[in-house]
Amino acid sequence: MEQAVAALMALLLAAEPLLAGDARNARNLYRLHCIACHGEAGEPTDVGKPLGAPLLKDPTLISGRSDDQLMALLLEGTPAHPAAGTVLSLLDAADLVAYLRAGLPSIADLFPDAAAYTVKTYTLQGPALTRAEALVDGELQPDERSLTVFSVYGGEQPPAGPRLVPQDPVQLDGLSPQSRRGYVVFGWLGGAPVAMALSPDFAVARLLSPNAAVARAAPAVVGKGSREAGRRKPFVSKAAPDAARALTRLYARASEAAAMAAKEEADRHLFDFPDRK
Amino acid sequence: MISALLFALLAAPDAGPPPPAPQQEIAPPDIAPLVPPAPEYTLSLEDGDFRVHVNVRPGDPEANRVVELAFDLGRQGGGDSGEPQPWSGGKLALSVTGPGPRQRYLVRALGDAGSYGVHWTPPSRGLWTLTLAPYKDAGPSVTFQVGVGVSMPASAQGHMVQSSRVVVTAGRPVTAGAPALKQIMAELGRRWLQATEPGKPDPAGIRAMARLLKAVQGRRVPRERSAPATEFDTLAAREAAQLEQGGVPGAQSCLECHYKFRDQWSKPWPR
Repeated sequence: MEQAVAALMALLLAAEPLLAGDARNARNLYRLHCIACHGEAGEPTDVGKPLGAPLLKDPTLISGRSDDQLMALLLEGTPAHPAAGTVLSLLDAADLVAYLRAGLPSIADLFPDAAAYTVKTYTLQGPALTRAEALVDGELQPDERSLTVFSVYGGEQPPAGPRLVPQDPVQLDGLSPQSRRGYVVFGWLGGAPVAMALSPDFAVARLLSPNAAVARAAPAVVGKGSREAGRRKPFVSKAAPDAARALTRLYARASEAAAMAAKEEADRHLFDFPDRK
Repeated sequence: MISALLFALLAAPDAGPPPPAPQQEIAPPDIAPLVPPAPEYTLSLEDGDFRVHVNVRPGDPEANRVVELAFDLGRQGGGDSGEPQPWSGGKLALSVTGPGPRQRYLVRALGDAGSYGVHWTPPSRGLWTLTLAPYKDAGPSVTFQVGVGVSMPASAQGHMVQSSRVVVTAGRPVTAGAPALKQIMAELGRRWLQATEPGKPDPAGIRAMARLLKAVQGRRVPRERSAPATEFDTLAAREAAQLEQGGVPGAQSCLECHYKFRDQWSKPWPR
């Protein structure tokens, strides 16, 4: 009987979400040590801007770094960021990192079965840029020609969320194309972040944003898109035409950048045994 | 003969330069009650071969104030003889249940062998039950209770409790010495958080902050920085004056001093 109760307790405990940090402590730490430069909502202040403070509510910035990388930045500092190791403990840094991730769309929100992901920024040029500009029927601004792509893989899930795999050839080799779930890109619409998930065939699998217009445009976007550039069409939504145009712009860049990521992956596994592809 | 020599030495008109006055390392003693050292609460628990030493800081937890739980994990090999060997092979989680929402936290390895820790801010007062257990593979599983805003429980918690005591940091009585600069600044930060929360500010708390800021003036500058020591005093005096008038400095005011005297910045302070 006792064993059964213990087993039941273990099952119940295992079902609970595992919190990566103490959000209440992190909020106080953020107010004490970060807010002067990074602002209440993660937007750089007048003091933070000349010091080069980035936009902390940018999901690309936060998702593109592992917990260890962010904690090292906080504790050890960089030429662009002070080392807070004299006032922050390792546990404080862990709380802050969890706090920074909370409230932003994450890889796990878009692919709940994600176990690992890679991140790389691609610059559209040549035929890729031409195709993207043809889809949006206009010119992409210079700052729109780069896009960070998160390639997402399944497998055994770490309890605290999917693991960021660095751009290291040996570690990348351990990611099988068969376990690839798709791609994620982040953009902005009306000052709010937009997360767009693409399936392996480059169709839009999911959209996330606090911007209500994105939800209204979603029926015209989710499920659309293609691996073949010639079959990609602009999204059209009567409910939210401007949002549909903005999402077309994001998709045009995302599909081309994801195609580059897919090509790199195929090249890495070109000489693999057939069962590993 | 000896007493005559001693007398002659004491009566000597000039026995060399006087010894230098000790540098002011400690704050005026009147601020010591404002920065009391936090007590710690320790527990020693067993689960089979595993030995778990728990350190709760502060040892008198309050609701809405962070508690640091540090775990030293060891495994007793070869019967009960010898010291337990540090055990670091674990993926551990801490579950908390009590007068508030049940939650489960990832417990982090702190670097040293067998050393783990987690932060937890109890949302309400009462008796909380905490369970440290592996979320993956094998490891120690112990349960203990922590009183938040209430007395710590008697040591009968389902596991053998070998010791349970409250100690004062560094073994010093509260009145033995004045706080260090770092402690004063930490206390200032804690009070600043309270003073900037929405609601009616506490004038006594703001006056106490002014006293703390006055106490740090005239000390050595904490680090070798580009800004001179006099600027440290000027900035501290500026903030103290604002506090004495009932105003609470903004985060950017604090940052200017931290930027120049605490953090490893290389760029000049933006004007």
